[in-house]
Amino acid sequence: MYNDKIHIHIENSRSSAPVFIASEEQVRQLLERNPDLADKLHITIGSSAYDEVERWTDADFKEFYDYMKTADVLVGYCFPVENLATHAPNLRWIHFISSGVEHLAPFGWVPENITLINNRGVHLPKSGESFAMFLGMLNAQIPRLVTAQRNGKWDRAFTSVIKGKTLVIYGVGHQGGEMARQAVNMGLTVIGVDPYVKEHPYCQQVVSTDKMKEVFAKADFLAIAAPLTEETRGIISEEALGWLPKHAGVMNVSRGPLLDQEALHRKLSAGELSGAVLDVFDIEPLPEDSVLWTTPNLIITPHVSSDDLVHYMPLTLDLTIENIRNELAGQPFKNVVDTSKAF
Amino acid sequence: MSQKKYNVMILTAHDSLKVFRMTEERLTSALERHPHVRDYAEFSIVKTSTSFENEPGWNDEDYVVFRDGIKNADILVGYMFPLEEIRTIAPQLKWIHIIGAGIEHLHPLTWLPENVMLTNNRGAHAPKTREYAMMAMLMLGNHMPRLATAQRNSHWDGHFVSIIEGSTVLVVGAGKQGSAVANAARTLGVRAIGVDPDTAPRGDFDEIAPPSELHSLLPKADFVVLTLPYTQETHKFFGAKEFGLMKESAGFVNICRGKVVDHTALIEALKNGKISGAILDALEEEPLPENSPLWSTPNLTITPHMGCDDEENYIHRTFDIVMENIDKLIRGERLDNLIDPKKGY
Repeated sequence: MYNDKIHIHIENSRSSAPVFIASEEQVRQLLERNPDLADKLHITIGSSAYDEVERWTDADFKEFYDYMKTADVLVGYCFPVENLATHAPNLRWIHFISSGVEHLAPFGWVPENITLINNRGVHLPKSGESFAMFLGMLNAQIPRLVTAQRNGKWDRAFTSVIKGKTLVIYGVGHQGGEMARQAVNMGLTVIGVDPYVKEHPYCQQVVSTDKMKEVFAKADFLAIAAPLTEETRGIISEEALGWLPKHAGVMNVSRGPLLDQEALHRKLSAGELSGAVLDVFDIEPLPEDSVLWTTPNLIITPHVSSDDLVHYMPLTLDLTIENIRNELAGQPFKNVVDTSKAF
Repeated sequence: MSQKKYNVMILTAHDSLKVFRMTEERLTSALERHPHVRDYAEFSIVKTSTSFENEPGWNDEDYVVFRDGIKNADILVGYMFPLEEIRTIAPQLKWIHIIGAGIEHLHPLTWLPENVMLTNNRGAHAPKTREYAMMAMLMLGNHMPRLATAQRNSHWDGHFVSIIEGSTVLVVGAGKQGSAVANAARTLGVRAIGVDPDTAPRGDFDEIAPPSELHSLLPKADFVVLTLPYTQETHKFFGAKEFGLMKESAGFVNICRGKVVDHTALIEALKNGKISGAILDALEEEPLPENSPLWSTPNLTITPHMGCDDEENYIHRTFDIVMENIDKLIRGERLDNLIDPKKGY
């Protein structure tokens, strides 16, 4: 608490893309949207030079620990986790501005009584549009046409409408569920693969991982949308890609290491898949000498499909406020991270 | 009805692309969808070795089979044929249906006998056009042409954009193709303003303005999509001035005919950042010549005139238009998709 107000501290990284940096103006607008809470909240914004704590300056640490003395809530992505309970005696919850939290795993550092919250759901308006686009692009063979354009080749590949085709989604959580919703709106049939989810309103069926081979054979498109955990790392292996029909298109919109991207490169080069769109990679930014830059029938987007330049941070802060309201009303938090599953 | 049946001649070629192939199978399935048409019409599929407009075109035998078929035909369904012969060798001909939307390859229409009706295929493209237009607007909003240019240079161009919901598309040409674009826009929550000589409210357009307002509307658009016929008036009508009036953040799509755009001006606009990206499905010369500067123009995606043609369903929908028009002919109603020979579209 800070002067009897709930202290929310937002920790920015100055090296982040602007989309991920909260501004004073956004905080002002946030309070305008929530006038009833305005005099109950003390919101501070700090910033460090880099995400990686090893590169923080002494000034970065000092500023952060000063804010932590009174912070009730921390909103951020990267920060020093050692002895957090000592530095931040009042801290009750941490709101990560990302969906994935694997960068701070394992979670032995989390003090008891501190809840971790992630940003799942905040991406949906933007990622929904991106998913509809990627589906349309794979169906219209845009990866192949862009490759042909690179080679100055008029490659008149005709295609049919997407309506009636089948999409298999690996992981039907928030992102996968939105992918399913977009696909159903476009007239596709959707099959989900998920170890935890048993059914989904936009999936014709959701099968467990042991049925992957069976449903991959039916796919016109495969979307990878699950979080990265020990269970999902490398799950879309060369063998799994081989279960897909040759005409299938693949997209990865969650985390690079779920997919064996070298295997994808080989399959696309050999014409054993029709095309792919990758928004995420093993290493980001994708190294200049990666073979993927010139893999035929592959479109690379630089991890931009889900983050809305204008609305991302405002929606993030709205989620923080939603959880403040939940806490004040004695209701459960939204988006609690189950640290037993995340690595 | 005791009247003799109409002879429908379907003119196709052995080397026709799968998407445009008028086969027995596709005809049979169309007649299954419209069984009563069999009572009024008999169909014959006439196949030439190649399409008339190809280089080299027809051989002697092709002319023979064409002339043989057309002399008894009441209705001709095809794309291109010896236009000047129609007046003299097709005494029964009442109606010609062209299996394309653009008919500028038949211009000028002086060869068309006054008592022969001409229809085109507008509408056959609608479902595929709608999907293509959705994709194209999303691709431009998400800077896909720019990212593909970056990929060509092995460059990680990580920059972010917002959603396209709530933005505005200017659809130049509010006919059937334009209406499919407006429908796509509505699905995406994008406001659609049409530009068309016919400003009657219709379909999913939020507004339709006359061509005289094009220049005042261009600065308002986040996307500009061209969906109008090629005529003398529209020849290269979209050029430096029009690109200059667009927002720098706006994207440009051409899915009608390449010749309506001044491509030198487009290249300049893209290179100088006067617009953010473009997608072309129609080019001035097709196939686009290997040495065309368009191949490597930054922030431009080229799709080789396939965006609006549905490989599986195009001929099905074409035949549906023909069958429905045969019904109208029988009932003495006005045919759909009639070309006005004076306007040329």
